[in-house]
Amino acid sequence: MMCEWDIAQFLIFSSNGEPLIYYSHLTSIFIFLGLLGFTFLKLKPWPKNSFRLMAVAYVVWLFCDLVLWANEGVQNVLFFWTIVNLVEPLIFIAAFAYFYHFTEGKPLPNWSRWGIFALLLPTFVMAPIGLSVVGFDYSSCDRNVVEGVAAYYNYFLEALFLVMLVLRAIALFFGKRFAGNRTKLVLVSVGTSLLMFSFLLANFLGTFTGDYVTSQYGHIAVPIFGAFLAYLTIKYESFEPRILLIDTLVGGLFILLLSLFFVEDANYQIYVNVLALVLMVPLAYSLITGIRKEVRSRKEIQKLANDLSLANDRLKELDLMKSEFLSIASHQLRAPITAVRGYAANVNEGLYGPIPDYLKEPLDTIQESSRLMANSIEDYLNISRIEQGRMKYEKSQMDLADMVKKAVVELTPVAAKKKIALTAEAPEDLMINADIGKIKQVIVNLVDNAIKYTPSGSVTVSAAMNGTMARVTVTDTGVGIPAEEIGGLFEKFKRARGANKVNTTGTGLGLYVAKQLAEGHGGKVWAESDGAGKGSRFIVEIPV
Amino acid sequence: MQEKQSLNKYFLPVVLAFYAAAVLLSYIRIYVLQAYPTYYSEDDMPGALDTLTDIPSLLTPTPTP
Repeated sequence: MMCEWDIAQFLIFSSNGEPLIYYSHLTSIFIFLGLLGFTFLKLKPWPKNSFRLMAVAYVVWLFCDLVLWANEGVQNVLFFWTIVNLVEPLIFIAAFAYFYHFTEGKPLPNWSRWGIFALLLPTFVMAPIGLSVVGFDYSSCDRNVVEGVAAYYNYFLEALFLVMLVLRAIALFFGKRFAGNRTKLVLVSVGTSLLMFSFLLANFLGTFTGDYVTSQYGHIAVPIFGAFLAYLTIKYESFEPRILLIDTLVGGLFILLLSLFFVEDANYQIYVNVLALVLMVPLAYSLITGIRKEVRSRKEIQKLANDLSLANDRLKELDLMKSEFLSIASHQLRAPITAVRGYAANVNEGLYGPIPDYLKEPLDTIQESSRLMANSIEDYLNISRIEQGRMKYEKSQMDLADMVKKAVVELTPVAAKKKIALTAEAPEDLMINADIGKIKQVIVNLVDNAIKYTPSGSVTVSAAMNGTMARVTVTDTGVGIPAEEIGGLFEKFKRARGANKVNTTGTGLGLYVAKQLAEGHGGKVWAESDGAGKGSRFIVEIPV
Repeated sequence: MQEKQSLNKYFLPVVLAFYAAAVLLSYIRIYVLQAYPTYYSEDDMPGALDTLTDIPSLLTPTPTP
């Protein structure tokens, strides 16, 4: 019996097969090639190897299956059918490995890989000895083969891996591990099992009913689930779905345009089609490259933002560690420096007997230096408390006017040494509800700052009510502040430009601490100046 | 443990080698030896399990009628 078969071009193009075959197979091949290409981009490595294997195996399978439909050569049909049977279980194994990797976060263990290899051994052995494809069926002209036991062994393997996947998915669903993430599990389980099921069903129906054309709908479903799985991988692995969508869209349009060549007979239709293809190439290229560029830029920005955020967190951590260190170190320093300061004052005041004149100046220096050091330590301690959120305010009724006078008395020797007139202008009493120690620190810091930056002249400290706020103003005739530098004066470690020339002992912490403590009371502090060389005013307001 | 790891590194080459061998031998069987039967009637076709018991006949070319 002779059959009339069309000669196939490139093994796969002929009129022997139904047009549906080309739509189902070529579309799937292009979609899986596209998915394969995307996985070569910077996707995290974990599920992509099994996904690639599945995609490669399926593309090979589709191509070989297309040969069976289109080819007229008996040997070609037998050979490619054998490859189909060899590759088929691999698709299921790769799908199972993908599912395992997706859910476990690690590839299949080695013992199970070798176990799977052992399961594949009969397939390897049966193919070349004719137990996969026995011989050619010439009883009809359908270009069929007579399949051997290997084909049924394949169905067994495919069903085995599908059942294993479903059982594993059920066990995971009811287990504790995915209690908070069941949606992810359900999606990947449904996607993988439906991919396997639609493939298995398509082949199974074809083999047992002989209706291979209808069974092609199963192969149309496979890439849909494949794309779904790729999307899941993307979604959970921050892959960019927009690239996938645009590439798929462009790929689909190309397939559509190319497929029109098979159905268009009139020359003008072919010319229009060629023109459309020629026009589409640059447009598609610019569209794809444009979107890829934009997506990559966005990802780079996102990565930089993440890196910055991590660096910021690390800096905060280091800052906290620094504050803790500062706190511990300051506590250790405070006790000895207080003792030095106290004993120096006692010696200077003659409590231990008269002191010779030549020792007075060194003792003054010890006293002043220890005072400065004690102030600095107090500032450091306050900063570390503020930054660690440990600052506590123990408020009570206090006389602000009295506090101003005391601060002035305390700092008079310092001002006198620079020949600066330090005066207090305060009413009899000015009661406020505040932490005495902290408010004293604010006033002392402001006055001390004014003395430091006043080479000659005077510093006046006045206190008065201003509405519901008690206001202390420290006015000096010092170096003044340029307008552009006033805003940054109260920042940590910030000193005005050229401040080192006037005062070398400043740390840039006094005003910052004063601001923090005043704000901790619900008050505010600010500076005013008419400009460089015209003196300045530091004003603090505390709610009554 | 090391022995186990050295065994595992052969996994992929072994699988690929088996696939290559299966494809090559199938090619030789079909294209070179032409060792496949051709069936002209459904009555002559063997069942799936029959092939298991009659392997040598599969490797013998069937004369064209």
